[in-house]
Amino acid sequence: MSTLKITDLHVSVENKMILKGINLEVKTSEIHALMGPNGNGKSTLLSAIMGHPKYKIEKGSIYLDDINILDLSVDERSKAGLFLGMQYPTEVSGVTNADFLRAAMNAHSDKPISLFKFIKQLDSEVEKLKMKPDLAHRYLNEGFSGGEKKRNEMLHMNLLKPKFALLDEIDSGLDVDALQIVSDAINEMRSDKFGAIIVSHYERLFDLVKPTHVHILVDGKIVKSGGYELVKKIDNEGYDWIREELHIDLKEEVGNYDK
Amino acid sequence: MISNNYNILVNNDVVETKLQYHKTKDGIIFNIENDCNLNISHQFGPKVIINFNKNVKCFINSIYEVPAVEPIIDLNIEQNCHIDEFISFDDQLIDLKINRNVNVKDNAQYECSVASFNDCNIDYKIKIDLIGENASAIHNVACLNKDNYKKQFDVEIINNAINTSGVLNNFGVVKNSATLIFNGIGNIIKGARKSQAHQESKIITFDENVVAQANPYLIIDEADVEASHAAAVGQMDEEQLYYLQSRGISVDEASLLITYGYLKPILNKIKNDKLKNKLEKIIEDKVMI
Repeated sequence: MSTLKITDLHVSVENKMILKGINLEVKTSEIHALMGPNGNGKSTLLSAIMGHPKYKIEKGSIYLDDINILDLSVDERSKAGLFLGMQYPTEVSGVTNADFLRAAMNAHSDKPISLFKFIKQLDSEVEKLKMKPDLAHRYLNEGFSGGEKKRNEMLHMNLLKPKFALLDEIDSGLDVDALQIVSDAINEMRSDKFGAIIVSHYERLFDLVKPTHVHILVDGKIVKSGGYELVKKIDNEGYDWIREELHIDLKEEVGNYDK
Repeated sequence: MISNNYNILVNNDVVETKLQYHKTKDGIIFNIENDCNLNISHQFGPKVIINFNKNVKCFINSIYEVPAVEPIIDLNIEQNCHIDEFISFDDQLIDLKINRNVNVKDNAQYECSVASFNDCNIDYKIKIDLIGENASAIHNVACLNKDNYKKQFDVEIINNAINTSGVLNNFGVVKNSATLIFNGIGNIIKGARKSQAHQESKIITFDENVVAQANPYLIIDEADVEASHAAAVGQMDEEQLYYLQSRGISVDEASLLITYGYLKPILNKIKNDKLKNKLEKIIEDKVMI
């Protein structure tokens, strides 16, 4: 059992404070849904956890068990067990998906994975995700459709087997079938060795991947936490009820720094 | 499959080879009459001129070795020849100036790939004259330069005759405080109708202190031609670095992967498989340490 503990996290970008005191504790075996209006800091939180250099930690701490991950570089955070499934995965020309994945798996392992074992694992996951077999051998994300990129993020997650996955709108751009496949991939990872924070705007993903916890993030703070009923409420009523119930002024997008 | 293999080693006035040659005031002259593979190691000394008789197919593996002070290897390629050349450089080189001339006659083809990954200064000049109808040339450079070294590649292809084709591809990566300059010159002479001159030069920079230039020049004195150029100098994408790191790859290894990825597409532009394989191996060996 591992714990990802975020305490009083304040994060700025370009001198603008985006996160204003996030407190969140996620244990393996838990799936935390993170919802909220656009531009209020959901993606910023995930990127800050992963260590994107654009985001400056002004205050607070993030611990993975007893490791202060703010002391770690991005690759060290990955090797410690964090994985960020990105909303807009970057294209890297000239580097094949398979070569990259093998390098990444080797980085996570004490000894290099044999070619045979790697190919066997890769083929198995590609089949499960119903990806085109050639996607593994094409340049990383180059020319991939939106849906292919998201499945590819799942492929990376399944092969790297993180303790905690941070999934940023992993359902955007997916058709119904692809959403089912991606959801199956997340559900298959669910165990007492795996936890996740999932950002999404849509109930349909959380219907397929039932969260254990749901949080609403507004203006850089988690303003309400609960269970699956919050997903339903947001789907039915949007976010206006927050204004009335919690007396919070819902601002228009404060700026989307995640894209 | 060419079975005849010959070595030529030129070091000052010493020439080691089983091929016949003669020394003239212009240089050491070889006449190649049959298909063969040539391994040329040019260290120091007089100009080497290789004349390929008609219809010859040849693969040249040229290595510039220490001390290699201004070595010259000129090629005269007769009708219907098919000549491929791979040029690489010894790791011990410090300064190298190369000034080459290649003449390509009717229906002959010349394809050359240059792999420059060593730490040294290079001033490379080549002029390829397409002097017969339907002659063609492709010249590719893949280059990594770092530290304080300066490398400059001036590649000129002159279309002197009808229906000739010249293509230049220069792909470079430059790091630290190094300098990398690509000057690509496509020159179509008046009367060289139906000719083509195309070039693409790309440089990616890793650091602020580098000097990087990709300069395309098209000098065209004939209307009935096809010509194009693409030149780009860009910084390494920080998002790529972050993405690779987010999967556990260290920043150093991620930089190597990006370098490798940037240079690799030049392989798709190489026609000859042997040239392609040699360049791919050298990119892997030198970049993916």
